[in-house]
Amino acid sequence: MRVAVLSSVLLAACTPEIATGSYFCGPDSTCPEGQACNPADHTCTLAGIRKPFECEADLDAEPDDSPALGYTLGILECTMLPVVIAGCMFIDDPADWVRLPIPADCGTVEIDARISYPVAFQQLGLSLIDTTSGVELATDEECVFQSESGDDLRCLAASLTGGVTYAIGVSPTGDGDCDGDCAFNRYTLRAQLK
Amino acid sequence: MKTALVLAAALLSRVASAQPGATPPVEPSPSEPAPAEPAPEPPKGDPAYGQGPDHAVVDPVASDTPGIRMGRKIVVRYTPSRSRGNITKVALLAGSSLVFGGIGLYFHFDSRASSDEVSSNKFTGRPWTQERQAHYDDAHRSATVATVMYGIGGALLLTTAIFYIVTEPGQETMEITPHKKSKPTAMITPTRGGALVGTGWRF
Repeated sequence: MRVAVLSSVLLAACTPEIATGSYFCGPDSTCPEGQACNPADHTCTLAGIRKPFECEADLDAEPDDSPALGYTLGILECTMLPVVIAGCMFIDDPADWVRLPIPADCGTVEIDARISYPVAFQQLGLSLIDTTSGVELATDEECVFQSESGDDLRCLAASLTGGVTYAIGVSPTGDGDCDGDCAFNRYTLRAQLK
Repeated sequence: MKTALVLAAALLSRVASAQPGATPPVEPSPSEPAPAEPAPEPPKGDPAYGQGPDHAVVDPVASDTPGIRMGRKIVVRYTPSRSRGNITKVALLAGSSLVFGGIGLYFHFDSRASSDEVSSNKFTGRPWTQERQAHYDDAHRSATVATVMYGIGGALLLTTAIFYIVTEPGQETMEITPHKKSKPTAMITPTRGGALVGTGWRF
């Protein structure tokens, strides 16, 4: 009897024990068995305590679904500290655009833009266009460094010319949206001229 | 029943005349029966044999010597050893239980290793990836295999114990009945200048 109890305890120790809230949700909102992704904070919790997706943006720029309608960043300098914007990508939101009017006396400057977002929901991408010509100059690439906190990180780098207004767009890529059930996300956009 | 006559000892010695005035011993004729065969009943009053019977049969039953009593069964109780086949079966059962237990132990440790990769009781700050899901699945799969193997091994161990107990040889009894004609016979045969002493029995 004692051996049987001891054996049961030892065997029970072989089964993974994962406390609720231990992990961020994985791609497509995946979680360990018995848990579900909580859209409110994209952590794996018990299914009964899930809360709906919520997002608080730094600025309410809607409608900003096109480069022409994008939110214009204030006075930019040729070299500046990074500008960080928290944004939200709700269901059926095609894109969020931010306009970048480069000062005319800057000559050529480099832009370093990054976007990070939870891997739990739909994936997002970056694109840079010249608002005058409408030409897409660059798109996001994999960053040389990666986030370890359950976020995806994408990077964009390009040379910009002074006196031209550019726009950076954030849009869903169509992947990781749980077949439409998690077609939303929150993101942080970071842009720096240097 | 095979009959054998064994001469245990022979003694040739001078035998003095048992009775004073008796006729000296007579040399036996060549036609006298061989000493190996039972001596014939001596004719009474034959001077060649003396006045009385000169050989005696020692009957163990009549004596007070402890041991075999003729016509009485000897009961021997003993516990026989396990047969080679029985030992082989026990060893196979026990070995099989050990093998299954060993396999279960392997998968037990495998499941524990996989389980340790993903188990957590606090916030890790990391996402639930496909790699962690694979560890999770491996842990469950190995735990299931370990449980099955432990179960089979335990059942075999129990079977081994039961089989060992059930097939243990019990105490057996064997009866030995001593042959009635196995009484040893002592003989003293007079010879020239002495006598031949011998004994024989059947077995």
